[in-house]
Amino acid sequence: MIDAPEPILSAHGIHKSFGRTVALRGAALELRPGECVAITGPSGSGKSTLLHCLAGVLLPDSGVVTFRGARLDGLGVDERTRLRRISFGLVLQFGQLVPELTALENVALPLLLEGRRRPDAAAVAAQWLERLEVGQLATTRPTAMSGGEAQRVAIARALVTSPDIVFADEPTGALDTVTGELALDVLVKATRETEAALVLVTHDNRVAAVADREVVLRDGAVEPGPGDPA
Amino acid sequence: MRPLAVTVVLAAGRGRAALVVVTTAATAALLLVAAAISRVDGSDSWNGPAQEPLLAPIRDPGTRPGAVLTVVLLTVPVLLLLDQAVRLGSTGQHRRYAALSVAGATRRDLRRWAAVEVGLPALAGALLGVPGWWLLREVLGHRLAEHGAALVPTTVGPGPWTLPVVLVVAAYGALVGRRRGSRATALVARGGQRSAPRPWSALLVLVGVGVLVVISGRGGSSSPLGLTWLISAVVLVTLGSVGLAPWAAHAAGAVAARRAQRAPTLLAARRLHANPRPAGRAAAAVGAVGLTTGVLGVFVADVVQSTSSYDRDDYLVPASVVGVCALLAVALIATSIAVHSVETTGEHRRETAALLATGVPVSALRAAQRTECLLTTLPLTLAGSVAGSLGYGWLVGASPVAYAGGLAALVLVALVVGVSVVAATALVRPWLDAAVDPANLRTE
Repeated sequence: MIDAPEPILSAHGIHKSFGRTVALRGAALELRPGECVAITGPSGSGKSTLLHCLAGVLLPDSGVVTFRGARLDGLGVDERTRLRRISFGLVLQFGQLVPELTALENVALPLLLEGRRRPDAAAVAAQWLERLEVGQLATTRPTAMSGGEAQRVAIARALVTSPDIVFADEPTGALDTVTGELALDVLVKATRETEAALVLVTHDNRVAAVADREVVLRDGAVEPGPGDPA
Repeated sequence: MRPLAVTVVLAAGRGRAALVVVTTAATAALLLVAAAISRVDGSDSWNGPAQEPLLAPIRDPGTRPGAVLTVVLLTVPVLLLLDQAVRLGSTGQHRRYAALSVAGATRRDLRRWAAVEVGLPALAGALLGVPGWWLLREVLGHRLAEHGAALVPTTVGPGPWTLPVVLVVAAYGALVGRRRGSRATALVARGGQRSAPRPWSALLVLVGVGVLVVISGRGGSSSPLGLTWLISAVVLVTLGSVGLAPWAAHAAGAVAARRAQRAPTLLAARRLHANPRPAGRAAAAVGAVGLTTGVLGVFVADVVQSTSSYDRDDYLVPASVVGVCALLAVALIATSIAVHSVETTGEHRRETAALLATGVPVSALRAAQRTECLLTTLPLTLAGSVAGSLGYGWLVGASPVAYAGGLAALVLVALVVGVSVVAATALVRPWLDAAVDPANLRTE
């Protein structure tokens, strides 16, 4: 029997509140390398908050998130920011591209921040745009792109640093059905090719169906799956 | 129930209203000082009114119009800050007007609404300008008079002439609000963005320079007609330069974006390139300040070198006052540019929060804000300072030592610009920090 690989990311007992609103009540999740997990649940169940806690955008009030064995709450703000830039990729529903920058500049931004020379960063960014079939948009600004095009550019930006994990928060939420399916297909294919793990937050069952595993959140806690102990 | 006018003002935000009140109060106070100087006892003797020890250029009827003009020009950076203050919350205003438009409000209704939004706090500010003027009279009038020469006349009190000044400032505020409202309603109607600025104002500069060349070819401007042509040419060049500034900012942003090697520089340059108008207007004012300090640098060095120590104060004290005012203006303009930067950050708060979420450190965003302000102000300040030093030096046949004074002024004004930008961006840091809050990532 082959042992399952060690989790690359794990979260246990995550609690998070915003004022009096409790978003997460002891949520937990484990993610293995290359795995695709969908976090689903009704509106207000805490899906996005859990994703933000897993990605180190938010720190939980209590509970522990570890990436490759290191606790995220043990890292400083700058270290967590760099972790998100290098080891994580983030794809959001909308509003993630800098409106003043061109597609190429948006994708090259994380590499420039890592100190890469601009021609090098631009070359890598151009390769990713070509790979996601939006190379013709290199000099276009996000305001002149369709929703699907902007989402492909955002996926390119999330993958340009070859991250270990890509977090996607409702990546098809602002797109029509056909465009959404295409964007999802691109996202899943690209993460599989780069062997990155993928965490998808969605309320759409069709999106969840592409994942290896589904985690259902309700009222801030993970619902037990069919095979889980009661 | 709250009166409609108050509801209208509060809908635009308390911060915006407060800034409008402060800037219009400062403008009204300065204009009242200028009016008071112009109303100093009509005596045309050198000594002026015997009971008031005023600074020489204010006391002397020959130079008094220049003193009045200087005080009036001091309102320019304050008005720039007012212009930026009115821009605060423009995203919210755009949404509000779009909703009102859908509910049946006409463009005329929206323009009226916009005029009230700014006009009411502007009226309050203009009225507060009267006690503001009184305060200046006390501090820069009575107190300074005890130590030598007053900057603000104390013998001119409020009268019927005060009312038009107050009303003009309030009306200007309403006009600025209405203009902003017209743009917002136009955006609601078009649902789009403004086109890039064009360099048409270069035509005014060319005509002005052409007139100057013709005047100098005909042997100068000593006759009244020649003087009229000279003033017209200077006005044309000034208006053309101001009109050209947004295009110059747009072009400078494009060049800097192409050459940028670091992420903060790229972000700053692209922001300037995408929205050059407010920054360009402020840059024109800062260029004028640079010009003034350049002239002053050569003038002061020339006076120190060529005038006896007995007469020196008559020149140096007014020059120092103008210099301090110019440097104060730089600080105000830097603040207005930082406010503009905060406004655009607020407009794109979701994108800004997403930047932080995707690994852009907040320090890079702060550096981008500083770079944007410096990119807007520093080149034109330096260009203005060099033009002022060389132009004035050539005009009076200044010595190399006097030019060294110009160089010292250039270094000083560059330092003040740098410090002002750092201070102004630090001042608006809470708004930037609010923009990167992960709460802005939440879907509505």
